[in-house]
Amino acid sequence: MIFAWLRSLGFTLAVEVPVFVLFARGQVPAGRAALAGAAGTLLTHPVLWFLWPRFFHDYTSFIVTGEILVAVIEGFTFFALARSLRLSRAISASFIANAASYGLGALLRSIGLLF
Amino acid sequence: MKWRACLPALAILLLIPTVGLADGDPSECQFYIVLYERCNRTLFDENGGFLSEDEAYHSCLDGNINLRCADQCWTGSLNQKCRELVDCIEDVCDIEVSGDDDYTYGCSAFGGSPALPLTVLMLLIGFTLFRMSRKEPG
Repeated sequence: MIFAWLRSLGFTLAVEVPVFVLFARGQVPAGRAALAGAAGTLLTHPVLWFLWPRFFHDYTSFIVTGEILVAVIEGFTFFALARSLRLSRAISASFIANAASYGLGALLRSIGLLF
Repeated sequence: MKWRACLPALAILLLIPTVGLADGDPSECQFYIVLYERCNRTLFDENGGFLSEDEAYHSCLDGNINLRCADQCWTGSLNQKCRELVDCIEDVCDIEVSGDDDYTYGCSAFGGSPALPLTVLMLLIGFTLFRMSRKEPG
């Protein structure tokens, strides 16, 4: 399960970090935006994988609450670390980045490219 | 060349080894493995027998949804009857089971799961906040 998690973390970073950089373009240096976005993902990803499932009995409740919680936490983390970015912009970037990674993962899984 | 120009290439390099092997977030399989551990490693197979961790994981990968049903039918008793599992499958998955020995159904990511509505909801929240941030002064 650890290897599956590491692969998933790599996938998530690959999808989400460019979205964070894109949303901070012109306001935050790309390097700082990338690090701030990656920090939020590194913080929340293990929580979503290993801790959050223990509070739920059904997958739908788990994934809906988990994804929204992760997006909010990553938004605040991005806001705090990127600096010079509005909170609403930071949280919007986080929601779209998480929608992209979750949606793309689900889409690829539905067409058989992911397990 | 500024290093940010390399970001797309870095993203692709990270994506190549992960596509085909993993998804961006916990799949139902990972979720069931956690459930499996929480239930003292005693989830049922389609015949009411206990599954090993390996069996549980591969059953899930194969699209076998009876792990979900076994968990949702969980009442604290280790002796669930097959009939209860069938009732649960019909109830939870909103399908009609054709025979008592036919418990295997695939749940596609965009079919029986919340993937599509959740993705759309998150995009809506994100773009609404983005529009708000552009209207804010300063």
